Amino acid sequence: MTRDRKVGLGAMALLLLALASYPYLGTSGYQVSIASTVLIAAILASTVNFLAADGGMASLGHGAIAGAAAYGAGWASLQGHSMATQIALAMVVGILVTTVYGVLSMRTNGIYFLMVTLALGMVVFGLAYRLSSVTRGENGITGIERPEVLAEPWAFYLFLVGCFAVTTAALWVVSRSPFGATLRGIRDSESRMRSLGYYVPAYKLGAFMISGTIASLAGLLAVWHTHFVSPSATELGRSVLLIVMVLLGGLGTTLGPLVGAAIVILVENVVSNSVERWPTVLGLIFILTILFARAGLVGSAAKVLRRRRRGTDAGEPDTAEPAGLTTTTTIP
Amino acid sequence: MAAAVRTAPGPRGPGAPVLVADAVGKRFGGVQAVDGISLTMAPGERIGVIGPNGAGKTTLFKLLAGDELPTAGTVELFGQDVTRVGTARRARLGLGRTFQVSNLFRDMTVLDNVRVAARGGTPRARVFWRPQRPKDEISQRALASLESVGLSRRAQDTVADLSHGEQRQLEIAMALVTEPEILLLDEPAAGLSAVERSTLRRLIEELPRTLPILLIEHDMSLALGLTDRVMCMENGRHVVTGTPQEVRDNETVKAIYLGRRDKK
Ligand SMILES: Nc1ncnc2c1ncn2[C@@H]1O[C@H](COP(=O)(O)OP(=O)(O)OP(=O)(O)O)[C@@H](O)[C@H]1O
Ligand SMILES: [Mg+2]
Repeated sequence: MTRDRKVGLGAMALLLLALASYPYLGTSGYQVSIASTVLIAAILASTVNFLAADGGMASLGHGAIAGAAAYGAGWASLQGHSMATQIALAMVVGILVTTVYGVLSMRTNGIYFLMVTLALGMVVFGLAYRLSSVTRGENGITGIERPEVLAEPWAFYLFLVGCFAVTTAALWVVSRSPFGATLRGIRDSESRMRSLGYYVPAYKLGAFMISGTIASLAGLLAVWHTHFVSPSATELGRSVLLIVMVLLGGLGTTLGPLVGAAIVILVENVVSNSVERWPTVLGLIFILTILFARAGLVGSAAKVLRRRRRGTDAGEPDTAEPAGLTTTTTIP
Repeated sequence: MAAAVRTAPGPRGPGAPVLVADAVGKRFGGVQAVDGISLTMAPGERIGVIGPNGAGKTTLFKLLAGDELPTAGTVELFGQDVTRVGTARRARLGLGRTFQVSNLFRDMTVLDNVRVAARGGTPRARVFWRPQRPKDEISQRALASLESVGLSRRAQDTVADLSHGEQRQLEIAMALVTEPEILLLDEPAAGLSAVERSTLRRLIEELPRTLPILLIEHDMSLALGLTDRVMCMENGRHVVTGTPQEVRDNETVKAIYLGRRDKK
């Protein structure tokens, strides 16, 4: 195991420990609830991150995929179906929508891919609004319960920490696998990959399916958290915020989505209490990050740490490393 | 290296051509880039294609490789009509190629570039639950291929750190690791220094004689020195085909190339 990898795994273990102990540090119910929102957003953002960083496909439709999955659970709950059916339906609807997205977008690139995902997101939004016999239109579906064992907010929160750990690890493994290398090859040069015998669209579809399946899970978790789904869950704005989270944290970093999600959710929920124009605050943070830490907060921190370590390895005087920073070290 | 090249399988008999282009043409809007070119390549044959800038060499190359579909004529690979068949499928049939304009994976290491090439189109490329391993069969093949082009000591460097000449060598390593049964090279010597050129020349000379090669090259001495037969093109059209000596002595070729020999 390389040193970078050891540091990364150690940081990840510490972070999970910190996340898991959070509800026991005298935190209020509200704080645990916000932290739950952050974790769900982080899972969703990490699916966008994977697709954009390894696949070179920036999606503006992932909010709608999660929203569609949420509606799947909502509809099943409305019909009085069992919990198992609710879960199954959420995943089936989410994966179906993902398949439609994937099939329609796998032959596109860059801006065209962006437009296809955006347009499909709008279709989902439109359906959520108009198909009111299924979705209850503007009012949305309320009273969606989560499984009995997760009823307590702290239990649900701990479950989310587990989900975050598992999905992050899964995407990390995929990214380092031969499939991940193939994706990056396609991102860098489709023509070369074709000439090496790769059926490019099939790999892009595969990446989209992996990403969309986890996004569907995030949608189910979201509806378990809020017990509610309405068309606003599928709005374009949600997908845009996911991209903002990814860029704030650092495209292609393992922990960037969590950091980005934390900032966005905190600004959205906490700053908005005192400052009415929270989008302006978020915009400012975003611009400052892009100007001064273009690789995102995690990406830039990792760069600084790596440079510094290389410096000390070369025998330069050891400047004290701020201990707190190590927890944000990404697995590069 | 010889062991790395499979002998061509096939329904086709011994001596049947590996590649046949029949009156292929390609029109881009108002430009007739390739105009009725016919070409037959026998097993183990090395063919050079020369011609001035804009003659249509790269376009012909793309028609053969499958990057562009012809607006006229047909292409046959190993006895199979592939005129409407895409690049990936032709690669799987055994067509290996290099690119005139380098599009290597710049952020990856040299070894990873060749590994991606080695897995090309095999079920191994679809494994997503296991990390790439440094000691598996793919890595061994990749290292052997790097060795054969003289790049093994750069295996762990990123492509961005390679010199131009080394990048051309890597191009060839990536084509060879796919174990092609026919190899198309588009101006492999473009932009190389004299020393790099002779390295490359030796590299091509040492490839197994059973491997058919189509070599596109501006540089007459290289194209004529490495091939059994040469075709000269101009303005998309066929000018003359013959042995290197015949082409060298051809009056039209002389006129086309007069004063151009040290260009580039
Ligand atoms: N995609 C395209 N669209 C329009 N015209 C093209 C396209 N590709 C090539 N051409 C034109 O076709 C002609 C032949 O180009 P081609 O690249 O095949 O020449 P070449 O012989 O490879 O030249 P060079 O020696 O400079 O590489 C040129 O006039 C070129 O401008
Ligand atoms: Mg050319």
